[in-house]
Amino acid sequence: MHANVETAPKSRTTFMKLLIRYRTLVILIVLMTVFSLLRPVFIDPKNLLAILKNMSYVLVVGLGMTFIITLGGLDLSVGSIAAVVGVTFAMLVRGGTMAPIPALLIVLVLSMLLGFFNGFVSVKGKIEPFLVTLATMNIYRGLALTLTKGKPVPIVIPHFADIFGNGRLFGVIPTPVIISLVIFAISWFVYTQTKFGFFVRSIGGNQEASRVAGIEISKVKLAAYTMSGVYAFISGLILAALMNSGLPDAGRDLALDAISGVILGGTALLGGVGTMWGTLGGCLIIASLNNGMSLLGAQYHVQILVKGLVIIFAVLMDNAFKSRQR
Amino acid sequence: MRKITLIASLLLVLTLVLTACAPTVAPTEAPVVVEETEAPVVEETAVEATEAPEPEAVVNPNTADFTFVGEPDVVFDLNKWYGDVGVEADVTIRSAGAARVPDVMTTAMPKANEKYTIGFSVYYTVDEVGSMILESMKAAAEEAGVELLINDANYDQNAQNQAIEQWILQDVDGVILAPCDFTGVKTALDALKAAGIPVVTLNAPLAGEVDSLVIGDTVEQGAIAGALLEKAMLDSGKEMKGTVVYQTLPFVHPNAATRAKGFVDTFTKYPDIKIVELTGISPEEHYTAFDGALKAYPDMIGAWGLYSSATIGMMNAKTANNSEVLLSSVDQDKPILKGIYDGIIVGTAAYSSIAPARWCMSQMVNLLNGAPIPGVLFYATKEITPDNVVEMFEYYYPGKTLQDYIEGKVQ
Repeated sequence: MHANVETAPKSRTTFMKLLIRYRTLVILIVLMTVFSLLRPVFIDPKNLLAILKNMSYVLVVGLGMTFIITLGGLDLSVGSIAAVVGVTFAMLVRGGTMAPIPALLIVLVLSMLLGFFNGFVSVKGKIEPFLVTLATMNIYRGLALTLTKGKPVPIVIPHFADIFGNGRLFGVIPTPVIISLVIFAISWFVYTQTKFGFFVRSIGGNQEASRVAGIEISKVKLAAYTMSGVYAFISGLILAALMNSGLPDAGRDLALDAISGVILGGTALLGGVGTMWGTLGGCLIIASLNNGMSLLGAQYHVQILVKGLVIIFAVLMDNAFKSRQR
Repeated sequence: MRKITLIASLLLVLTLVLTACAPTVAPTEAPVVVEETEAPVVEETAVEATEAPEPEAVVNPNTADFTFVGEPDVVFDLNKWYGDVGVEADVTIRSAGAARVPDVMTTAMPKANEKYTIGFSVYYTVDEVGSMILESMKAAAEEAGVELLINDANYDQNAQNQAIEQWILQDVDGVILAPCDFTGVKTALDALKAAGIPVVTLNAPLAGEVDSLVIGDTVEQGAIAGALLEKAMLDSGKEMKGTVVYQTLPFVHPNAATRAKGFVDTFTKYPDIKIVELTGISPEEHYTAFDGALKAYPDMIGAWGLYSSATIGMMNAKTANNSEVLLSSVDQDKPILKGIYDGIIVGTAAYSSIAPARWCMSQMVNLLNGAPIPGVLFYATKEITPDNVVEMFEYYYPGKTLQDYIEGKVQ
């Protein structure tokens, strides 16, 4: 009898622990269940693939953002870099001015430079990354608008849209899904299995201790922001391919969606802790929310309200998780 | 325990909010289905209606409201229309003819031959025009007896493209689309074409194929705003010499480009007038830009806000500077109409937010019913000046008065 009395609270505690530990998954399942009940087409395999496709460019940037946030930083400029990527590539290949491959390489280098610039100003100028990338977000957006004089630039080269945007592997899986999952696998490997990933987590967890341990903090930060530029490059190509054009206004909400996805996935804003799987789950939540609310015909004000509630909910669960760990 | 309670409460709130979304798209009630007809395959009907019209085809019940511009059997050259203002376009319109239509239909809204499901994606609803278009579309859907699915894209073309993908999955009968990005919308239009789903757009895209467009004559809107300003300048005895500032968007928007052409053309006959273009997006940005311009151009004799945010920013800057510069506008947001009433704005080129939605629905239902439709419908533009602003307020905002607005009784 006595044993039974003790078992009930224990199992409840275990259940709560599991619930909080797998909070990202729990939120995702709850959302998917609610949307499926309200709109059965939500769980149609084609719609689920559409969710994955529309998550792809956010996930790619979110993976880069996971490194940055784990470092204790932030990169608000990724959406603007993605816009620069799209318009620059479109302008380079327009009218056969340049072959696609060299154009891609030039744009890749450009996006790395833009990412590097963020890191350089932040590290060397000892300025908060939030402030630096807030500024460069405007600078890079201004650059995209100036380059194009505000005009969208159509991309008319063959196969570009198929490879990066609207193509399907085996006629089923959208190519952006494949690209984003490959990037996910690489990112997971770098984050968890390499020295660089370890350094990132160490610096975010305790910068002073990392310095004492001989980690070259500046180099790691510069590398992470440069990598963020590369992630924005891939995301920008997907966006441009989905739109068949380089749009100077593209990726307007990209940074905030990616940051939301990373936070929903359990990466701590203060740095030190993060998971790539969590980011994948967080971005899936964002994409499912976008998709589900679109199916419900929710107006924009309802959409942002719900997104905000979900983020607060996730952060509260995150806090509950940490307090239980303590 | 407190945290868990808080989490549970939030979860409950979230679920309630999501559930509350559901009625938004609940199928609108079909009033009465006019008659039972043999249900043809919708896609085939659409193609037949646009590509191979039969002599005995269904008559368009709205024809009496059409005043054709040019030959009814010739496809409107939208690419040239845009090309004339330096905007590249590659649009194919599947239906022939272009017609002007009145704000208020003198004919009846066509009834759907069967319970069509139509998707409507609106570019945004965060201002009064967008909200009114959405509400008017819902009302028109109910009147026509169709089920309406809604998407609020909030100026995100990718979100709009996603909604189109979803509607294709749901096998909708037709789509009405107010594009967010006039080029990026091509992806959605291509997908609809591949799925064989007819499409009517509110505003004209720059690429892709559509069955029909419902648009304002934006060149005319700019010309009216120019003429209003010109008249005010002449009436006030100003020497037609100095700077005229206008404010537009910082990126190329076809409606802005066409409006600007209409406005600028008005002043080409005055060689001593220099036209200066400034840009911004929000009213605050336009305020700041115009505040600076009032100081930078002491010879400024006139100004124009190309759209509502521009005018609202400019009129506040004008008031703050006690400036005598004459200001005209396009759009009929309530603060603009109050500005006209207060004498801050000389007039505006206005258009209904209800009529475009009704005409889009009429075009789509006629198309699905198998009736021939014009490829382009131009909805009306009207002048609003201090002389008619009180009446026009009630015209554009039925059931509301300018006086009530000024007194804060209506939003």
